[in-house]
Amino acid sequence: MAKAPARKSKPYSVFPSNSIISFSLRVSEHGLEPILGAAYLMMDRAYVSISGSRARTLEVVLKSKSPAASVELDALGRSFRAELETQKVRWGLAKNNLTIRRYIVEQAVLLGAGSGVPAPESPEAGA
Amino acid sequence: MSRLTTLAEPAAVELKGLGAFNFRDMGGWHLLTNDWGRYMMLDDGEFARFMSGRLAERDPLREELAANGFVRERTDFASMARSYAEKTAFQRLLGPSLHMMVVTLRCNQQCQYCHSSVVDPSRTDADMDLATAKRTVDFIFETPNPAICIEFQGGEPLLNWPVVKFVTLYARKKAEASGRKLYLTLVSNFTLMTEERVDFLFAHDVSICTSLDGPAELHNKNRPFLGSGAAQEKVVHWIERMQARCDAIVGRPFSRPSALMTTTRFSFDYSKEIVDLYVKLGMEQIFVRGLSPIGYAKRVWGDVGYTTAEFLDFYSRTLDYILELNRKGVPIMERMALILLTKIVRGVDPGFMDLRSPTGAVLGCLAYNYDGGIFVSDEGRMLDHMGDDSFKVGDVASSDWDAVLGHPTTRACVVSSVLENQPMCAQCAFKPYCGVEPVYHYETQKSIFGSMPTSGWCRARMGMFDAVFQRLRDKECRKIFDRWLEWDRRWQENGGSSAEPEAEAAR
Amino acid sequence: MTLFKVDARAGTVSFKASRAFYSRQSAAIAAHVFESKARVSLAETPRSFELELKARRKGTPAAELEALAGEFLNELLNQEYRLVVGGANKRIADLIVTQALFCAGGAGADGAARAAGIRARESAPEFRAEVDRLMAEARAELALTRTRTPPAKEAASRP
Repeated sequence: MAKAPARKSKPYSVFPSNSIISFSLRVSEHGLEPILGAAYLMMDRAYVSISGSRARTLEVVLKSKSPAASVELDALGRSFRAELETQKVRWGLAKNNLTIRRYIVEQAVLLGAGSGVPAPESPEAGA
Repeated sequence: MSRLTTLAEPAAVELKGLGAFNFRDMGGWHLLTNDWGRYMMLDDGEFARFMSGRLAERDPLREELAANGFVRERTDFASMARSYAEKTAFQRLLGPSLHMMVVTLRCNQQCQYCHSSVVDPSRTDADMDLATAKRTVDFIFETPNPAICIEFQGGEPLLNWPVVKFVTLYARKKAEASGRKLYLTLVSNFTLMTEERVDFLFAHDVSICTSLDGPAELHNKNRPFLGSGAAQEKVVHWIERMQARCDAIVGRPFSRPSALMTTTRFSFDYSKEIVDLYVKLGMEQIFVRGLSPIGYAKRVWGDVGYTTAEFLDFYSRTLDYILELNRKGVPIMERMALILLTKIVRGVDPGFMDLRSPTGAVLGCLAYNYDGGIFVSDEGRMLDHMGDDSFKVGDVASSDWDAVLGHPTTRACVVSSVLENQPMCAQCAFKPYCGVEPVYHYETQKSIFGSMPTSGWCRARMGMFDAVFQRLRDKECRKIFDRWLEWDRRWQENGGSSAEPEAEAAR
Repeated sequence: MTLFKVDARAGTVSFKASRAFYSRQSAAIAAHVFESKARVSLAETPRSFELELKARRKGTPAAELEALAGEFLNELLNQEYRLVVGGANKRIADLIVTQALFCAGGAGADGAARAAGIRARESAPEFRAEVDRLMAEARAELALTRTRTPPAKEAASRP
């Protein structure tokens, strides 16, 4: 028997009377850190409220800082989506290379402690 | 789009072969940087091919990316560790090198952006007394750094000239006894300068720095003088006089006075005139510095302040004019651009306290109030003057270096300013060259961590990095920048000690 | 859908924050950050933090009260995400902090011994005599300065 097609949930809900757009996001699909990262980066344009379970689904509610009609809220939504997709890449790069980053910093500390890379002596009066 | 910028085609990314780096859409090209301080500038097509894993194994661009640590499986650990160690040499400083001594709070100018941070010239009770001055110098020599720079600040330090003289002589004596390197710098508005004082400063190798905001009508508006005559004429007179004297001394080219400018909203119409004046006076550098809405400047922000966008527009215009002059053979450099270029191109730390991770506060510098109070930075001291002593970490009468370093506020400033702990900074392409300032964020956002998406500090720094990187990609500008770096490198090698004073910068 | 309930007359705005998502630590820090802007009341139910902000300024309009609550939510997220990022980079950040503080403390050098060495050199009679002389000269010059023209009128230099 053929499987019924998975029901595609609406990606977001818009509430123009309150300048609000809300997203329901599965953590297993997007990752916790990218969701938080994307929400965080919206803080210059929107007030952000998050609820739900960190293990399953998070609801991210964005309330535009300035009054926003549907068209502006759609733009805000697209912007959040773009941040979310980019956050997946940024977090992916960071996580994939975490051991490399740690190792190089450790090596640099050892280098600085033991040999050829002396600490600067001459102060430059900072500004 | 956030200030970090987003990817045009995130779906086409193949993470597997990519190294540890941050990226930024610069409009037509992408900037890639890594923690080790390496950077690459790729056009959009190159960036898309690299991110999607479509760069051929033998493509020269891939080779270059690999050599700079952007290709995961070809990371040269030893080379990257060395780059990182050189770039972050300030993390291994043996205690602060810069010690800012406020020898008096008195001032004879009422600068638009600062005059409530100082007191009337008649208030001699706001002078550092001799005993406090001696204890301050003793404390400074307790810190372990083999090189010490004492910067005299105010107020106007010349109003407490005997203490300036005493500290100079006493610190020299102590440096001699302890085998430490000692640099001394005076930050003065020059209104009380005399030939006798210049004699003393030259004789004891005290670097001299003043404030010059621009042409007379601008400088005198920004910095009203309480005495007779116009302040700007005096500044110009003494700059010329000292330069003439320096030039007459063979083998002593490093005592030439330097000057700092502070940008108010009145400066915006004078971009060219300000630079022209610096050129006319034979200054090698101009430091286009923005105001921060902290301390007294916060209260008068409506009168003298501006948006970050307005400042960045002014900065870019001024930088372009400076570059235009360089193309015509006029050798003048913009200081902030030079600091950023030193970090980006040379991969070394220029010693600029505000762009360090962790912050230069306490680890790189300390500020001493006239009454002996020790503060994490001059901004911290100015907050105290406004009634908030949150950034006081000791007192020269009762604290030792261990207590100052172990103070909870010191620890909080250090931890909060490590960019790995800052959400937006950790992903920013400018991270390897940048830093955050806890006092600024405490004052503007009520939290030493701050919140970067809405931080004016972050917006201004990113704007300046953008301005510099955009020009760095231009071949002609790059040549000029390389020349600046070479001049600066030679100047450093010849023993020049920079003197961009902290107090002036903070205003 | 609404996020905030405003009572402009009372100068208050109330809202909820999910306890499943936000930690008590973040809520406490955000409340502290907002201390100067509003009086923060924080209560907990099994599902949420129930917050009420009372503006410090009287007559704060409804729009500003909403903005205040919105900024509070953003601060909550700021703290929450900071903990996530800080956790991910903890080992690197700890290494940087430890190195910086260790070096600033003298990198293991014996500070007490160094100070004792300096004190010994500075307790030499010649050194002390020289310092006494410098102090005496400075005192004399200070006394002269104080008896001169009041500083406000202190003669400005040329030109």
